[in-house]
Amino acid sequence: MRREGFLIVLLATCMVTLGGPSTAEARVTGVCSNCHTMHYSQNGGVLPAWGSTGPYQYLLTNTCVGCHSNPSGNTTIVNNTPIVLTSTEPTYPPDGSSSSALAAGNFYWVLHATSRNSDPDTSGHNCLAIPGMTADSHLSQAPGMPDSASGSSCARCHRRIESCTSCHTPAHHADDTGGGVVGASGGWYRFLNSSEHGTASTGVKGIEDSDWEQTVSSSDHNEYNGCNNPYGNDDNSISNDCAGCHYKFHGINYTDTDGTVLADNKSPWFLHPTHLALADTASGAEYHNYNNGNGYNPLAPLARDPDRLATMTTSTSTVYVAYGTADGDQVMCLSCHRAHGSPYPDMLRWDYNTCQAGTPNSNCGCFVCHTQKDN
Amino acid sequence: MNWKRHLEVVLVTALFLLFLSGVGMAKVSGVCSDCHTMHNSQNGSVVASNGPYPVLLTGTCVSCHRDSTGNTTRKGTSHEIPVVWTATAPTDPASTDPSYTNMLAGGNFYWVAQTGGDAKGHNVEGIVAQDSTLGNSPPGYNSSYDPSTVGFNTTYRLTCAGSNGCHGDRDIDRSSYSDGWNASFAAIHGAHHGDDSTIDGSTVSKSYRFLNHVLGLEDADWQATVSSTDHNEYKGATYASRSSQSWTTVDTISELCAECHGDFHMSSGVTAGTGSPWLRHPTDAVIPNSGEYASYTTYSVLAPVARTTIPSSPSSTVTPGTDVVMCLSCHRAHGSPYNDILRWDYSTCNAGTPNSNCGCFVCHTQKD
Repeated sequence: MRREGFLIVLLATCMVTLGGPSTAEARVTGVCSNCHTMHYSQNGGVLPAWGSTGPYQYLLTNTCVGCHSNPSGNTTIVNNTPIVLTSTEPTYPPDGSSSSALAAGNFYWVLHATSRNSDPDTSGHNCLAIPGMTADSHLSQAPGMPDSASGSSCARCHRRIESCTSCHTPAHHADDTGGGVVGASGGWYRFLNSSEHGTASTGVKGIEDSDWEQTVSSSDHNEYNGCNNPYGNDDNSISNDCAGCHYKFHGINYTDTDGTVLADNKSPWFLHPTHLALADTASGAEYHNYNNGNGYNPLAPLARDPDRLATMTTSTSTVYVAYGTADGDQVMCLSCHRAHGSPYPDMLRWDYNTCQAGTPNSNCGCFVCHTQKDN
Repeated sequence: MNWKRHLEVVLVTALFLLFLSGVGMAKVSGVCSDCHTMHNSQNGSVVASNGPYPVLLTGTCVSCHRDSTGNTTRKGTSHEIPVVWTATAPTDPASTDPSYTNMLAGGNFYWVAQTGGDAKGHNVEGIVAQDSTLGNSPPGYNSSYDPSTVGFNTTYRLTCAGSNGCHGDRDIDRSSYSDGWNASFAAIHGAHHGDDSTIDGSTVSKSYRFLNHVLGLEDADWQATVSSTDHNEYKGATYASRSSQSWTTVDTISELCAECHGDFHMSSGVTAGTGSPWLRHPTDAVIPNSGEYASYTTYSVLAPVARTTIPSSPSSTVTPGTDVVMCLSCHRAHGSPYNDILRWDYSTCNAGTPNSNCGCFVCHTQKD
């Protein structure tokens, strides 16, 4: 999850023009030549705006990172293209500025030590498609890797992240217009579907914020899909997608040091739950006072029950955590982590070191749910 | 006139009309003086300035195949001479051509001959100056793909025919002649009067549009009138990969283009690739009968397809899974109004915005 010696090859950013309504559209628009070249040749050579190591698959002018990176600053949306790698540090916590980190964070922190984390490897996923990235110095495999992924053919995703397609299956021309939940026909939420194991039904669903949460608030944010089965397996939740590699951290079973699989479906938990509806906890539980009753908090976001999400067309600040509420909101992997990278160890959304039991701290996401732990 | 003489006239006329009718033939017809002058002298004046020319011609290739004053694209006493370079812009191809001014299938050099028009056509010597960006170097040239015994020689300009040209015998060495016209004459020698009633690629005359070894069905009026049922039929092929070409393997129109633009043709390695995901746009690759491509079922003159088997007459049916994308699906050969010699304006192709004038969307039916 990091490397020194950050090197950015001259990479251009695809210019994609988003038109239409404010609800996010991953479906690209604009002239074909913004992203494609038929022969990887123009004027007898390669244009400076293109990547230099082509030709590229799908007649693209550049690699994934070539389009989704900013080689000249920390602006995180360039020509309507979300930037996942900036050359200078993005703004964090997100403040709505042009340099505000997007929802999944930024790979910048995986490449650079900062005052907030001197060990960049722990700041994010070491995706080897990122120029300058090397394998994680601490990890030889994905933490919580399923035993079934131990084979050599599994290594390129489960023991290292060789490409963006380890997590994403790009579908830039899929029609995700019309607002509301993005599913199969729209190429899945943020193109999240296993490129290796994905089927027509196993991708992630969700509502895509129109500016990838560059501007973010209680009412302006992504809407994530929770789990609809207690094991959290093979559903369209965001946490199930994480579980593809971090399987043992998901669901209601856990494997102890002896290799024994034990039930982990109720308090006291052995592993932090990633699919639990807060409304299902006991009456009087601290979780029902999520964010002190101030609605959705993007610092520690919640996933929506699939049945509730299916009825939604846009984001809302309302949370459904009152005890006994049907289709209650759920804790998920992204309640605590950023997907690409964050300024903090363990890819956390906040500085865990500032979470001091008994000391209120609005910057500690733990206390958003664990509302009695900072008293 | 007695009845026998009358019958002779009728028969000659019928034969003459047969010459002009039906499937297009490159074999010339019409009065000899349309193209030839015996002494380069008539009424005491020179017929062909800068002449005399080889083969008693009245000029170079573009003397006959050019309208130096207007936009007539089929000239001659019987409109039997296709014109590829006009002084003013030809009209758009359509199902009718009452003024004989519609652009022909290969396009027109008019646009490349305009100031700043380098990207709109092939910069042929004698028509337009050398390409200011490309010089004499064909983009994507790969000598392994050039079956010519002498290959394209960048010391010399692009010519109509010969080793540095497209038409005629490309084994005719440009360097052996004093200028490109003489080389072109030598390369095309015997073609115009040859019997091309059967296009089998065995000689230049028997090759599609004098493109040596290339097969195809020649539209009678060079697509001056054009529709889904009235058009050329181009030869295409499908094969796993190819890393070189020889005269025994060339028979498709895309292979002709690949003689100079080989890296852009379907091949193994780091050139175009051999299958999806493609590295470069496929040519001589079957249009899949699945996904967005399955919707292309009616022949589009905007983005035509090639056939692996040439039909006996033009067909309006496109069969995904059988028919083939080719270079001419997107490009014109001589010149077009658009950059990169495209058949349409690429800048009007906007993903997510329907546009019937964008040829990309003829095949990529879900991208608009």
